[in-house]
Amino acid sequence: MLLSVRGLRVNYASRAGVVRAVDGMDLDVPAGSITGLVGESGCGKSTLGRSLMRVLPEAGRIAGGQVMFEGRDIAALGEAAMRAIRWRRLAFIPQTAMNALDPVQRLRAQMLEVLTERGGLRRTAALARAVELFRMVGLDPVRLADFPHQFSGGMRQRASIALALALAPVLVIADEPVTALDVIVQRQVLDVLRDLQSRLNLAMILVTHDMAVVAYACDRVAVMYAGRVVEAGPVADVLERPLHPYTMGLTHAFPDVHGDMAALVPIEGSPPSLIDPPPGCRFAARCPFAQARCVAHDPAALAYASDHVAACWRADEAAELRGLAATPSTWIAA
Amino acid sequence: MTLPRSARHTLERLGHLLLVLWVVASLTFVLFRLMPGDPTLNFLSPSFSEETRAALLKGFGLDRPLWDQYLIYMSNLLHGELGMSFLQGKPVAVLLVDALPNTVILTLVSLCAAYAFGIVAGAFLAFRRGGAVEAMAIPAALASRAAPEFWLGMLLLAALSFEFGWFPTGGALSPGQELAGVGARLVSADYWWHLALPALTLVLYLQGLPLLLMRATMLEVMNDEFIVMARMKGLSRWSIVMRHAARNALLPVVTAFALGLGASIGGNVVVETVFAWPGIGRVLVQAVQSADYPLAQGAFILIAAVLVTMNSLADLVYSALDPRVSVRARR
Repeated sequence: MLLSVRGLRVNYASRAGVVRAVDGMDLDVPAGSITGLVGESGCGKSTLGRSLMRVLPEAGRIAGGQVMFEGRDIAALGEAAMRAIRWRRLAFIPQTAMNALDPVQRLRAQMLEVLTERGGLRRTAALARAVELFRMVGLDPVRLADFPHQFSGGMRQRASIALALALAPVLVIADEPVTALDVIVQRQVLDVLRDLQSRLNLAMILVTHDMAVVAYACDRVAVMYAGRVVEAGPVADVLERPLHPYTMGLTHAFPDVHGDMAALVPIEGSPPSLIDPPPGCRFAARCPFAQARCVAHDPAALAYASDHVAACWRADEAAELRGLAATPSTWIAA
Repeated sequence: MTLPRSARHTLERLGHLLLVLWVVASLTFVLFRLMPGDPTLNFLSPSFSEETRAALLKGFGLDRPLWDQYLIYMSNLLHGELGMSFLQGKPVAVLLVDALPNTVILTLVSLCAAYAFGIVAGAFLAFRRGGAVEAMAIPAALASRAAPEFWLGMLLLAALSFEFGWFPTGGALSPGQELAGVGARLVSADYWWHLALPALTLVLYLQGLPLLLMRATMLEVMNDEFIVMARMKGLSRWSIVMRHAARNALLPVVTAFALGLGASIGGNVVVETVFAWPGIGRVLVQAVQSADYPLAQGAFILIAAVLVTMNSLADLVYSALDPRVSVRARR
């Protein structure tokens, strides 16, 4: 396993108390594949991405757990050793490319900065590499002379991808890379990502809230809810035979890949407060299949099929629950 | 016309500039004619006869219709002809050209010092946010910014000149010295020695704006996504702060500098008066006190012209620094 997260906890200090944004998270990312990390806003998926880079907002801090990457625990690494890994082994594609690129510097300068300061290339070699990278992501190298505001949204995202790949990292974390784009451009950018991932044999974590993006681009998926992974496995297994009711709900809450809008059913309610989360299963309050034990005790994450993990007391009855979950009235009654 | 857009932008600015200057010149013309009395009352002793007065008015062209006077005034202005000072009997242009370098040197030196200090201190305070240094430095910066210039100047004079005798009490040169050109002034130790106190007063007064502005924009920029990305790239702290944060935070400060340059060339009146610094501000005050209309008028126009020019320059500098403001060239 290239990356192995075990029991990771990330806290934010806030006036109301300590927010447990990531609270006992497990995640495995094999080399050379795209792992989707899916969940609704505030479930901790972006926080996870940023804690892997160890660049958290001022109030945030890693409170516990292990992040094994290439044989080292990067959660416990010193700042200097962490800096040595950043961008060389572990790169990041940000959510909104607009502000992620320095507005007063040409793309060329921003590419050269990474290639020379971090990659140790000489200026001429770095320029050649910048041109090559722009070609790789489908941008005209002439545009290296442009400023970010002269780019369209899709082009900025391509430029961010080129930047992320500059030093040939082994793992790239893409935080909602297509969220701000329209559907056609989304697909183009996802195609670029997928194509480069397979050509360069990259490992990638693709953070998204969109099940359609997962279905289109990912090999594996981990579903996050309230700071934890509730279900994880190969995309085909998880989407076709979900074990956790939250995953079942999510697959209905997005338009079908084949465009059946009538089947759109939202999951009512909202996630629990992460300042003082309830003791049992965190989804219990919104779950149409919740029982007494769900509210009282936290279910452990167990493997139900080979490589398919879920944290649900009723995962054994998943086949039956899937049938019920397909009926919209199940969700409205809850 | 296939001028590049940046050139067109500059030409457009230049057009605006000329328009504003014309309005300023016209307003000055009207204002001085609205003043009560006529110039001869100050110029002539009462013992002069009415005929002499009429002859003088005719000599000055003041018997002509207002419209004619205006045309003569504008044409003179275009030729750099600002008339003769009533009191000193020298051409106004000569007096102003003599005083202007002193004002420009005073302003530039103190503005550069104030902004250099303010930018560095502001960036530093942004880093030490919430610390004890900040709790002391910000009130101090605010207090010296809020204190009246003349009061600050008088305190410095009282302490450093009269009490300790480290600095001269006024003027630009020691008695008996005379320096003609700007170059000679710039290499004269005596001149710099005289410059120290007025410049220090202005620095104390001017540093607050760049300091607080730099600190505020730094704090804002440090939260921007591209700074987060710079950290993720593993760039050195130096690169993050200097190349990304400071470069972006400087934009509003540079604008403030150019605007401040214009404003303080006109606004140095107080400091120049306190320290008897022979600049435009003092010329203006003396001219107004002694009803030397041509000189006052010339000083007004000069100050206005400098201010308006600096504002336009600020605009051009800003578009050069921030590509988003500049013309959308290159497609």
